Amino acid sequence: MKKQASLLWLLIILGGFFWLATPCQAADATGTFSYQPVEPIPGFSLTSDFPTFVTNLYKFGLWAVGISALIMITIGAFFYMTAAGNSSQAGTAKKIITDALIGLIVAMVAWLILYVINPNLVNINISITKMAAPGEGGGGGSGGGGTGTCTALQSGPCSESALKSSCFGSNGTKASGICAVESGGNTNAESGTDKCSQDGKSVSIGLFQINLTQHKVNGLDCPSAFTGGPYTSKNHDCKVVNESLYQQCVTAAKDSNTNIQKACEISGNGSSWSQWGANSVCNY
Amino acid sequence: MGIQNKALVVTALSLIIILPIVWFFTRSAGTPAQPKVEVKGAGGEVKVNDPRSNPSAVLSPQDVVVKKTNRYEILYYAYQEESFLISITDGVDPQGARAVAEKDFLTTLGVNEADACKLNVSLTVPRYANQELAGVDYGLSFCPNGKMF
Repeated sequence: MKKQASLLWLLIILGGFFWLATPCQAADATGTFSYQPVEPIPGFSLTSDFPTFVTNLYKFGLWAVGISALIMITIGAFFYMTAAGNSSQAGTAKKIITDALIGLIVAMVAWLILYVINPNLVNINISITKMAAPGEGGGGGSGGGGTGTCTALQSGPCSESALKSSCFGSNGTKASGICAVESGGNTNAESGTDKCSQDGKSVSIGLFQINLTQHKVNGLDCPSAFTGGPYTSKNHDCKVVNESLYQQCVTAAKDSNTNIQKACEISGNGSSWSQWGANSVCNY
Repeated sequence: MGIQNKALVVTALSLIIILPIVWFFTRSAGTPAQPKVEVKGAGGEVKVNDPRSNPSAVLSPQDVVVKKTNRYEILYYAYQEESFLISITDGVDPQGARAVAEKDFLTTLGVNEADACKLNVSLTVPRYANQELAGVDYGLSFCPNGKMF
């Protein structure tokens, strides 16, 4: 009977938890997993991120355990204080204090053990992306135009305003669009696909993904750092033979001003973008 | 020592031991105090952990790689206006990488979501990572102007 009552309480508590946390969760049309709890965890803000919700729940649990332990220890201490030689009451008091401390230690050590084994075990990371149904979203073919867009950036070195005030002049908007597609405006970008097949070294670097096997950068003869080039869409057979020069070229191409200057030179101040793969999306 | 004194000692010790333990385990990501700077954003000035204090790389005085992993990069730009760029380089699971990157962005700068939305933050995917997603500034997903992949 006692066991059944315990089970009932457990179910009520769990049910209450799920009622409080009933999420509106679904992978929406864009494939994003949204989570909207009905109520926030007490003491924490409402979050739409499930891992954060669980983390908040855990923190709330730790506070609850800590406060409960404190209350129980205080009660135990009071019992002990008022035992006045009654060994039975003193024993009960000691048991209350011991149980509270054990509970607290278990709650703390559970996290600590997992963290010591692997810190990632205490990092909740849930990522649910939409699966493409058969026949859905295909298109594009191999390396075609795809469904990408070409939107000028509004901040950073590749912003529309920055490039309009550079050598691109009135072609700054187009240049910003190309940069947005090629590198996403990342000055530190090293292509993960344009790589020499022999050693896996990136050949396209920086904001405009300047091809080091084809172009000199900042006075450095970058093509001579390679053998077997130049790297093109059909020829990936190359290898770095001068590592020092290659590193100098990479550093130079990651300098935003140098990279923009080189892109200006190659594109005729932004009048011809045929050398950039991004133009299959932008069609300038 | 009388039994009452013992009880008082036990209670006091409990308070001294338990509260710091609970605080230790529930405090936010344990990072030592970092120098703060004010960064101007579209929504006003926000105090953030200095993005230049512990960078992965300094490309130029204006371009700082705040953090780089094999799934994303966080950059700080100081041009006419200050801005941040989160570049998602994991083309296989960009959605997952974005979630981790955005969380890391908040932790690294020591700001909450509301303050992060006041900053100039771009979130992009380069073509070499994922052609379908390239060419759009998605912004932070939890901000009003954030776009979903």
